[in-house]
Amino acid sequence: MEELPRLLLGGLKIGAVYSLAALGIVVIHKATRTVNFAHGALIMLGAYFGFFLLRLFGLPYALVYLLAPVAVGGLAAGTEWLFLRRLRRSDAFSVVISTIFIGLAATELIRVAYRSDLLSVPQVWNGPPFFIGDFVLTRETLWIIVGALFMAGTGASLFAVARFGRPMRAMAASARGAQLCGYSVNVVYAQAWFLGGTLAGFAGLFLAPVMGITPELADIMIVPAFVAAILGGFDSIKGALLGGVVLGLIETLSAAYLSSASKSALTFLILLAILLWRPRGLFPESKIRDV
Amino acid sequence: MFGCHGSARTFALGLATCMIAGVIAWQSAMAEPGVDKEQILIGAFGPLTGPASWIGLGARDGMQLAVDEINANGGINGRKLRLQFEGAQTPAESIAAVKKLVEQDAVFALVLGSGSTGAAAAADYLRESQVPSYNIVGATPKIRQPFSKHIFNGVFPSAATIATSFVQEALRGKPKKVAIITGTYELPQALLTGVEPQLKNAGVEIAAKQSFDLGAKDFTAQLVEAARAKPDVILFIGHYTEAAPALRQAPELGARNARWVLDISAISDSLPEIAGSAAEGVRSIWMFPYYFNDRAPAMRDFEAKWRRKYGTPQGRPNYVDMNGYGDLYVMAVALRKAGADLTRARLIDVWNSDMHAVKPSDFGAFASDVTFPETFTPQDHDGNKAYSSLEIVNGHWQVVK
Repeated sequence: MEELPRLLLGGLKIGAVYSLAALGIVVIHKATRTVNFAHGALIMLGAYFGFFLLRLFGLPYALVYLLAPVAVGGLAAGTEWLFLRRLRRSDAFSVVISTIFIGLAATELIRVAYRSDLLSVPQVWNGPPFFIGDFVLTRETLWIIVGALFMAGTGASLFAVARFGRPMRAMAASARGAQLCGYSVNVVYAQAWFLGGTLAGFAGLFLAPVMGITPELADIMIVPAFVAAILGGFDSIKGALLGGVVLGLIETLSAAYLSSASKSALTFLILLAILLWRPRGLFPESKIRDV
Repeated sequence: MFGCHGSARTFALGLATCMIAGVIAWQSAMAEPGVDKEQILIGAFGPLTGPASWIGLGARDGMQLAVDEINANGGINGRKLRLQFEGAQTPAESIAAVKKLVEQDAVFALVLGSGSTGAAAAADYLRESQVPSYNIVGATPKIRQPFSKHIFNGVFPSAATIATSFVQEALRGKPKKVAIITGTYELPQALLTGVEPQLKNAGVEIAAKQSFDLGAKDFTAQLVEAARAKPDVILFIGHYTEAAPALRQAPELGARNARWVLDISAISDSLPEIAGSAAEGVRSIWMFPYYFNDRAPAMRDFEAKWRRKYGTPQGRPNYVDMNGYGDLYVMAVALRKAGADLTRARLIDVWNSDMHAVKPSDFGAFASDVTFPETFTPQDHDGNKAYSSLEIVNGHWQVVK
């Protein structure tokens, strides 16, 4: 069991990024009732924007962490404003389906425009790792765990507590009620997409130095982001935060102690079991009373 | 009278038969698919999108560079070459692409720029169709067995040959225990089939065996388990898109104390950039005489030509660009040797009997010899079996002299 701390740390590291990714999906869904299948592409764009700002413009990481996620958020809000707003007039199904194709289009555009396959960005933190006995903790791992969870927590607070999130909370509670209170659906929806996109941008930026940057980041991240969101309870902010961490730990521990070859299959089986046991996820936001 | 009349009729019938046969023969000679007075149409396929797009993009761009050079220097026996490349990522798409190229576009010959996945999928159809086919990237045994006199293999040798070279590299330093981390998809599994028995025959203990899916980016569990076995060597069998994040994670998870040997598809300039200092000293095998930025004139010429045509995208040209370039020239040599009356049968005959130590510059001094010479015999269609060793030194891959 001496390897357990390393496994837990590894699971926490990837789980923190899953939390960020899942939170973006939940924020958009809660406020707009749209399941955003383009979220993987937004994460990928976060990584690419980071690459452009770091490598092409030579900006320092501090500025990149400020600009890249905001740029992704702006792009997401713009997409909602330009395309999805018009589709909303037909039905919700059209909007959801169109997010699939917006995601695919973004991924393929990146591939066509920037055809090299694995891009790299420098480490955020240089310097030796921390040694705790045999245990090694790199600055990068520490940064991802603390940074990703901090940003996820900030995003959750913005939605759930801050003044910024009040219109979205109102829309989540009752769209008609929010409108009667004077909130514009178009503005609030764009706001929710901005926040969700910004969180996705952060997720991509945290992943970029560790994994390298490829268009496949979109495919790689969309599944765990959804699984984490569902695991936590699809409409639960707290659930998204915890669901990501739980998924990261489940993935890592099942791969280590059960089978690395069937890591994905085991993860989904565990997810299925949890959903059968608790269909509303592990951490639902509201309680249901049986009457 | 009757006899005379009968013999005249027989003669007329015979003459008509001969004429019809002649017309059919002439038509069939003229109707050789993909060849006319002006050009020879070569079909190719490979993944242009998805996680393995680096294979298809490299094959397409490397081959097109050679085609352009050949055409600029007069073509082949007075004909220009034309390359038609179909994107195909999955096995189903690969079969569809091959059928389209053969049945709809009527190409003269095929180049498989697809890696093992596409080559394995198309193998049965290619054997049946008997179209001359040149597999330049796929190591899979499924394209090699059962043997077909119409299918040839270029720079990329069989999985068995790669496995042997890979094991030789791994056994350097006489390790007692190894850990294997391998992908679950076609090429790594084909390599693993060859590697395991050879390691056991050499008396080496396989202390841990871990797997990952195509495109995996988090290797915490695999690395922790590999490190727990305390191996002397870790063999990583997978793409560089997977090897780079794995290596980067390795020191933190205690898996960098062992010597790492990567398989050929993990070689890329992006790998040391992403893995950082963890990549130092990592070794691999290389199916080419030079690595990128080598000072050898052939390599410098090739890279300059590639960049003039395609610019400077990061990570390119990759080795599949070299692969496509060199092997297109090998095919061009065979096409030229097959003569002006080009038929598929003639090309197959030449390729089986008259292709010994063929290198790009055999076609013309303007070509760059970035691949090892290839030899084909009627019994052996694996053109290349040579390899060199690579090591990452100061953040760059270098051929170990």
